[in-house]
Amino acid sequence: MARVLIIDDSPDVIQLLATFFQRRTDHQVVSAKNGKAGLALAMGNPPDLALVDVMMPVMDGYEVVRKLRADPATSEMGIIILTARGQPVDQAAALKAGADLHLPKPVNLDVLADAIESVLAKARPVGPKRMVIPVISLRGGTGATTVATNLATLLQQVAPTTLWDLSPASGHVALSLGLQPKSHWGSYLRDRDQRIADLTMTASSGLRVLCAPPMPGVYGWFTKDQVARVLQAMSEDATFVLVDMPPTLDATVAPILQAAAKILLITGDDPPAIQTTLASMQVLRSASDRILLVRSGARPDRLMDTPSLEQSMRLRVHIDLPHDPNQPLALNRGAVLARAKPESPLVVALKRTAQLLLTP
Amino acid sequence: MQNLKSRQIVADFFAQGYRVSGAFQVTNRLLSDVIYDANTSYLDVADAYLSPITDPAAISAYYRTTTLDKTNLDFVLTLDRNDGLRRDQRYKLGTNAFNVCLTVPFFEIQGRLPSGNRTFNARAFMTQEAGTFITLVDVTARCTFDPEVTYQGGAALIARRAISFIGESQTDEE
Repeated sequence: MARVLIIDDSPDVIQLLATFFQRRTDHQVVSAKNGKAGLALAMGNPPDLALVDVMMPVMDGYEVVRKLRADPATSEMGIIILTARGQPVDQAAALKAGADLHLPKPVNLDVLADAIESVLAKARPVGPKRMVIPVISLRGGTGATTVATNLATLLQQVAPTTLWDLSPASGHVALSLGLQPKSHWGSYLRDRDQRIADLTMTASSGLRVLCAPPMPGVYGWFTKDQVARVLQAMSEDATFVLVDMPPTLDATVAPILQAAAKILLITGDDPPAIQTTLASMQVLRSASDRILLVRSGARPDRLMDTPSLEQSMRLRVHIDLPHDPNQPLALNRGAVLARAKPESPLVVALKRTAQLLLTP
Repeated sequence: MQNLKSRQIVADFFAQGYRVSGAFQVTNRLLSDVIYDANTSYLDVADAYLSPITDPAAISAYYRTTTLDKTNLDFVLTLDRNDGLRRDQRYKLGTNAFNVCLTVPFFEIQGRLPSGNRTFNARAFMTQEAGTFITLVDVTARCTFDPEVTYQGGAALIARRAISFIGESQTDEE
C-alpha cells in the first residue's frame, strides 16, 4: 500500500482520481488543489508517489516537481505529471523537470493504473531499512531530549520514524512535542498484554511517540526482555527508531545498544560532563565505532572551544550544536523547533546530523 | 441547431513566438465555429498559460480568463481532430485530403488538408477559398529555430494571412 498525493486545481480531476484509487487500488490518497499546498503536504509527510498537474495557478507543476526533487526528503519519490499539455515538448519538459513519467489528459485509466504501478516499483527506497538511534547523555541538562525530539521530527520527513522516551523520571519528550502523555509505557509495565502500538501517540509531524509516564517511580522498570519487545514493536513500520535513553546505562538497555546503527552521545564542556562522557565511552567501548559524539549547545556560554574539548577528552567531536535561543521559546510554546522554525541554527545543525546518519 | 454538450477542451494558441494553452468552453459552438466566425474578432479562453514556443516549461504568465485577438493568431492546435473541424469539413474528410506543407511565423507545419477537389492547386486555394483560416488534420508543427521542438495535433486552424509558403508535400510512397 502506497501513499499517493494528487496535486491538481480541478476538483473534478481530484474527485475522479480519488475514486479511481479507491476502486482499483489499496493506496492511500491525499490531495491538494494548488502547487504550493501540494508542496507543503509533500514536505510534511513525503508520499510514495505524486500525480501533479502542470497548469495550476500560484505554482505550476514543473516548479513543484523541481522543488520536490531538490529536497532530500522528497527527491526519491515517484512523480507522474498528468496534464492537458500533451505535446512532445511538454513530455520532454516534464522529464527535464524531474518527473518519472508524463501522461496527457484525458488519461485512460488502465494506462494510468499501469503507469502508477510501474513508477512505484521503480521508486527507490528512502533511507535504510531500519535504523535504531539511541540518544545518550549520562549528565542531565545537556539537551539530549531536544536533540532526540528535533532529530526524530526531521527524520520523520524522510521516512516513518518512532521516538521512545525511555526516561524513568518523567521524561520531557511529550512536553517538547506539545503532547499530553495520556498513554505511556507505564501501562505496558503494568499489563504486559497491552499492545505498544496502542500506547503510542502521534505528533503533528506524523512522528509516533512512546511517552514516559508523567509520574516517576510508579510503574517500575523494564527487564531486558521487555526492552527488546518494546524495541521490536517500535520498529514495526518504522525506518528510524530514536530512543531518548535513561541517564544510567545498565544491562536492561543492552538490546537497544546492540541494535543501534549509530549512538549519539551528548557531551558538554564542563568538568562533570567531560568526566561523564569519558565514563560513558568506557561503558560503550564495544560500540565505539558507532558512536557520534555531539557537543551540546544547551548553554549559551562556552568554557572552551571544540578543539580544546577534543584535546581534553582525546575524542573527536562529530557534531557541534550551536546554542539556539529559539529552543527555550519553542519549548515554552510546546512546539518542536524543527517545525516551528526550521531555519534556526540548531535545526540546521541537526539537518546536517541527519545527513550524517543517512550516509553509510 | 445541434445541441452540444457543454464541455471544456484544451487547445494551444500560437502567435508571435508564444504559445498559450487554455481551456475553451464548448456550449452551442465548437472552437472551429468561433475561429471561423468572421463576425467576431475575439475568443475567450480560461486558465491560460503563456510560454515561449521553444521552452514550454518556462511559464511566463497565467491568466484565469483572457481574450485572444483572432486577427493576431498564427494557428490553433487541438489534440482531438473533431475539435478543430467545422461540421462541413467533417463530411469532406472522407473524400480527398492532400498532404501539404506550409510555413507561418516561427513554424513549418505539415498536415493533411481536407478538400472536395481532386487535385491541389495552391494558388487557387489561397485566393479563391473563403475564410480567414484553413484547417489541416494530423498536424505536426516544427519550430523553425529549434527543429527538435515540435507540436502535434489532431487538427490545426491556421490563419491564412500568416501563411508564407504552401504546397503539396511529397509522401514517402511518391
